Amino acid sequence: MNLLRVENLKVDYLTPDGVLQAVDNVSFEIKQGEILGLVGESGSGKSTAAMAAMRILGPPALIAGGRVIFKERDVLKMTAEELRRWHWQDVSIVMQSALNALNPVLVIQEHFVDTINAHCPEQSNGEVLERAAKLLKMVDIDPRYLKSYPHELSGGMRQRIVIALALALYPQLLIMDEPTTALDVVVEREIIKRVLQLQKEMGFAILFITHDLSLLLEFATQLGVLYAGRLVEIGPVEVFRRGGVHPYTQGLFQAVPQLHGAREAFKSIPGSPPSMKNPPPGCRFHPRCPLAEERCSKEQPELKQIAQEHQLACHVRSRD
Amino acid sequence: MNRSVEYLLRRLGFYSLAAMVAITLNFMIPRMMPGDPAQIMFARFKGEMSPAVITAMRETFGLTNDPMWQQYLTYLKHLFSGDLGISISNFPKPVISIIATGLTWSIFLAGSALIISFILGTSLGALAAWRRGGILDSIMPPLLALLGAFPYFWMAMLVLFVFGFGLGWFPLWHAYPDGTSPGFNSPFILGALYHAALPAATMVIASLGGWMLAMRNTMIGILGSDYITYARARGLTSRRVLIRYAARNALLPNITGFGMALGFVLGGALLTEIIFSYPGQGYLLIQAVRAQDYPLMQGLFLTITLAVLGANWFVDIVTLLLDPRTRR
Repeated sequence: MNLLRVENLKVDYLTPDGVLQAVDNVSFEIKQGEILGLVGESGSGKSTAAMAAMRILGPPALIAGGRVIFKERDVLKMTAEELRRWHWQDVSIVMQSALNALNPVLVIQEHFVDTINAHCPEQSNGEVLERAAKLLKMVDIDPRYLKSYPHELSGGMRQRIVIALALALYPQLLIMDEPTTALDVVVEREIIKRVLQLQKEMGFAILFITHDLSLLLEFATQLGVLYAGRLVEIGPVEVFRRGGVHPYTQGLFQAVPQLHGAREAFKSIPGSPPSMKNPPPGCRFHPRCPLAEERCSKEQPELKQIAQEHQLACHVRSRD
Repeated sequence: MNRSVEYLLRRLGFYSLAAMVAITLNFMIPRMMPGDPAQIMFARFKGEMSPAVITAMRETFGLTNDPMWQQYLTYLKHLFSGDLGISISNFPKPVISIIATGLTWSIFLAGSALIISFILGTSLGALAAWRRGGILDSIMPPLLALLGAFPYFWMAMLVLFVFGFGLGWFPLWHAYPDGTSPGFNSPFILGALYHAALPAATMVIASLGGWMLAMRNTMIGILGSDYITYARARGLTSRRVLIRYAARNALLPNITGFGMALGFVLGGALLTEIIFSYPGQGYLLIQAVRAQDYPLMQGLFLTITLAVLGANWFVDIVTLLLDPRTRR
């Protein structure tokens, strides 16, 4: 069953120079207990899409169109109070800047108390603290740190605490927006391993956003590739393990050094991501695409089903 | 927490050193100036004073022919026993009792004006930032900046002229009505409040804009920070985010400003007290200067210096309590 369905989501940023379409017609679905990964370069709109789906974007961002359905509830039509209740009870987020996500003048415990009280005011203080201690243990942090201030903890610890905080109300969907980008590789691995264990135990779904494609291949069940605000390819992770079909996806793979197999030349995608203020016509990837044809610069390719659950937006590849 | 205590004690040590320097300067400066209080008194009595009286007076003012260090020790001894000498203009009242009265009125007037202005200004600033671009945010800052831009003495005189003299709604001078005696009785307390209303109002009007703008600007910075977005995303109520996450953090830099202002309160609001003839520290100071009342001036300078130092220490304590990042 679908937990979250995002349909033709459009997000605009209102800038002094005009409207910037950060997310253009993005659709995806997350089933219960599934892990959907969204990959893309900086500025591809992946974080914006996730935050828009959760409706936590403030001005100058504006949801310009589309629908977000969470278990048959229309998220974009929720009132402020409904939204407030929906947040954290059903969906929670670990933000990109999780290191700065904690209020520097409150001890860790207060963050848990505030969060749990906002949703379950009937819980006694003792119960809340007990739950907070349990949550910290879940992410391998000694509960005595409940009394610490954020600045007294290391980056990895703060990140774990933010994850524990995100799980405080046992949500069904956890959005992780580049949760480990600021951490070193060893800590990153440990944290992801722990999150995956918890995911198996508790059965929540994850929307994992990153620019690290190889990381996603290890644990995602579905994968979506964003380029300049549009989804270019989305499908089961197996498709991507085989290297993907869209020329951009393939380009991303060539930019990752291979540890196994024959040594190949390390190729980066030529050119740079387009300006979102003035995106190229047609397929937005065509100026950098090795396969581009005349049609690509004129007609915008739509996402088309090319196999079971596998969708692609490419004129050339969907014809082959 | 031990480290915090250690930090506070270290600050206290520093402030004590600064206070000692101030006390020493306070001793030296008048002795380096030409003339002395006794000569002023002599001049005031137009020579109708015998040399013996002058010598006696000099001794009363602590000006003896003893060596400097001995005078200094005597000065310190007197100072720590609360003896700041005798006022010339209010002869033979001791300076300490004059300052005690002035200080009381100054704390009452400037202190309440500061507290009202600070609370009102920071609340308005927080709300303006919270509803950025709203009515409050569009009207209040320019209006208050305009009011704050008028020269204070001009505004105060205008207010006094219109509401005190023209309309007669408020008294023109003094801190309490004639015929009441200071103490815990309602005619005196009500009268004192009535007398303080107009000068306090001018002080609030003049300073409100500063507090509001400072709070608004820090708050806008804080509202853009990640922990605010994250607090909202966690489903916290707006009220809680506003008070516990945004306003509380934005208040921290303003506490420093408040502490500094508090120090100056004890020095009296000079212009206000002059314009409204309000018997506080500032009014005393101007009187002392006019009458060349050195002992009183010295006493006032000393209390002002000590008050500023004390206020700084107070800010250190409050900041330490409110901002855990300053504790190490």
